[in-house]
Amino acid sequence: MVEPLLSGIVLGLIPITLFGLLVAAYLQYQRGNQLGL
Amino acid sequence: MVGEIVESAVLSSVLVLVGLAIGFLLLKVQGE
Repeated sequence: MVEPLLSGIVLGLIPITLFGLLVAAYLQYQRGNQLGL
Repeated sequence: MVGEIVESAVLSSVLVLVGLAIGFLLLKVQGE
């Protein structure tokens, strides 16, 4: 019942998504708020 | 089973990174 391809895609996208979010947050943290909101 | 899952996980992550790299390269080329 476990689909290996589907499980691999899900388990592969989760860490890369978290990594991307962390990178985006770190870049904004380093650069500071430029929008003044 | 486990090897297949790991293989597709690595492949999907690499595909995402390759897509991002191509996108940023195109943006860089376009911005010149």
